[in-house]
Parts: sequence; structure tokens; C-alpha cells
Amino acid sequence: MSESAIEKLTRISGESADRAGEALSKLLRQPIRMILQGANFEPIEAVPTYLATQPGLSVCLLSRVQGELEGNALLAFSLPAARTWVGLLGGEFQASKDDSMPSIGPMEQSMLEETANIALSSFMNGFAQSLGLTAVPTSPIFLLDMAESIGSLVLMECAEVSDQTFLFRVDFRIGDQVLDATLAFLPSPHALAEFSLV
Amino acid sequence: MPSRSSALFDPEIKTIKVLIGEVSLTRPPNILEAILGSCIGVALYDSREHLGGLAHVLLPNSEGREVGRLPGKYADVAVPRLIEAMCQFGASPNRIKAKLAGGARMFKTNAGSAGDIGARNIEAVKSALRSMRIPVLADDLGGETGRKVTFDLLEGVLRVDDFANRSLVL
Repeated sequence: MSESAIEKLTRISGESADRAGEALSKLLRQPIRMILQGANFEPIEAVPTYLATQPGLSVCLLSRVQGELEGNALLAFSLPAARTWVGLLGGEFQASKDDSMPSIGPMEQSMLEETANIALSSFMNGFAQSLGLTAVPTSPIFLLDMAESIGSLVLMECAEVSDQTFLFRVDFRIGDQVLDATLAFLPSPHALAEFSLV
Repeated sequence: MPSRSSALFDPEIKTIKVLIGEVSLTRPPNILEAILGSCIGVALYDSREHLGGLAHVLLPNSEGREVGRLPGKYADVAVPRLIEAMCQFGASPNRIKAKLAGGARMFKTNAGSAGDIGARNIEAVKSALRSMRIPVLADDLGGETGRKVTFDLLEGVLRVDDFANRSLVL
């Protein structure tokens, strides 16, 4: 992929991140910014580390993106960030019997899934439209586990054909506060071929 | 061959993280560590040499593809490569024993190939070990959650932890 193509993809993904931030701001009724942290080729073994915003458990919302811009999109929150986010939406994590094992109720899970739905759809729609391609994210799947362990799922498709993947990474800001959350999109090898035509 | 093999005899390194697709081997007091989802951690140990290795396997079969710079990516390549590397440093295939962890089905729903990749990885790793005549002493495979494995090379103990505070010593 040429440098100019990567530059264009970086610009487009930054604009898409802005759109996703605006959509989430409407959801939360307060300013949310999504800042592009990277749009580049990364070695696959490094990707799980990018997804693990903090050591330990993460709440991950995984969505398969279909269409010409196919791939895997992921929204990952550290547990404290997920708790903060759910709190902003009026929900609350239930007290767990075991302090080390959080209990996320169906309502709170639904809040996080809807957040992912909005963020990922906004990001992917903006991205796809700018490239004249189609992208349809599926309903997010909720996963609570170590983010690094979930990383293997999103890497399988790319890893079959390459030792590196193109990764878009976006951070969340609520006001001036950085939330331990990240949005990532890993295009399939087929979609990467579409990028080469950018 | 093994990634970061310069770490093998570096006395400064205590815990070596084995990332996706990597293979690492070392001696005590060093420790090998990996976080696994649908991946398989293949821990091999020669008790006489106190030499052990850990492969972080992501996919079942290379189908003839080149492995590039990640020798642990495919089960059918990772297992023989790790054994070969251990033998280069004094291990004997007759003494090497295996312990396995990982291969979780992270999706509860059927998600096509992603849904059963853990099971396919398990079968591919076991098949590769059988073909190399390496016995599996213990395993913690399957399930629906990720695992953190810690391979202590003093006694060849593989500790497996998951986020539900389930902890096993293999």
C-alpha cells in the first residue's frame, strides 16, 4: 500500500472517528471525542496488547463487518471504564459475591452492546462512504474476558495469510479525561485489497 | 527459529511473554507466560536438562503456507519446530513431555469458523504431538474463557489461571 493511500486512510478514519464521537455524544448527552491513535500495518502478535487497555479483564463488543469493507470491529473497555460508561447511561454494575468477579446484568450488558452498535456503525459507515464501499456491521457480541485472549479471534482471518494486519485504533475522551477504551477495526485480506485501490 | 532466542541464556530476563505465533524456550529460573483464548499453549519440557519451551499456537494447519517470522502460528509447524529447537540445546525427544492449555470456544453462539477454531486447534496440536511421539501429561482445554498460563521451568509446572479465579497446576 502506498504512503499516500495510508495517509488518505488515516484522514478518513480520523473523520469517521469524529462521526462516531458525535453519535456517542448524542447518546450520552455530553461531549465525547474519539481520537484516532493509529492507522497502519501492525505485527499480529502486537495486536492483543493494543486491545488490552489495562491488565486484567476487559469488556469487549465484537462485530463482524460484512460488505466490501469486511473485517472485524471491536470495542474494548477496561472494567473500570465499562463501569464508568454504564454509570453515565444510568446503569450500575451489580455487587459480586466474589470481589474479583464482576457481575454485569442484562440491562448493563445491553447498554454496552448498544454503545458498540452506535460507535461501530458510525465509524464503519463514515469510513465506507468516504471510500465508496459498503460496510454492514453485525450486532455486537458481548465478551467479558482478558482482552488479549479475545485478540486471537479477531486475528485469525488476517493471520492465515500474513504476519501483519492493518489496524485502526481509536481512543475515547470524555471532556479532557481519557477513557480506558479503544475501538479497533481489522480489515480482511480482501478488504485490504480494496484499500490498495484508494 | 525460536523468537527472541537471545533470551535463552540472558540472566536478566525472568518472565518471558510468549505472544501470538511465537515460540520461546528457556531454562530456570526464567518463566514463560502467555494469555490464551482460542489459541493453544504447548508447553514442552525435558526434566533432565531442565529445558522448556512454550509455543503460542493460533491456527491449526499451515496447509503448506510459509510461517514467516512466527514459527508458532500453526500447530503442524509449531510443534516440530519447538522440539527441534529444544534438541539443539540438549534436549532429547525421548525425554520431552507436553502439557497443554487453551482452545476455548469464546463465542457461546455458533459463529462459523471462528466459533470452533479452539476445537480445531486442540485436535491439530494433539495430532502433531502424536506424530512426534510426545506424550501429553496433562491439559486444561476447551471451555469458554481465556486463560493465562505460566510455565515454571524449575519443575516443568504449568499453572493455568482464568478470570473466574479458577486456578490449576498441571
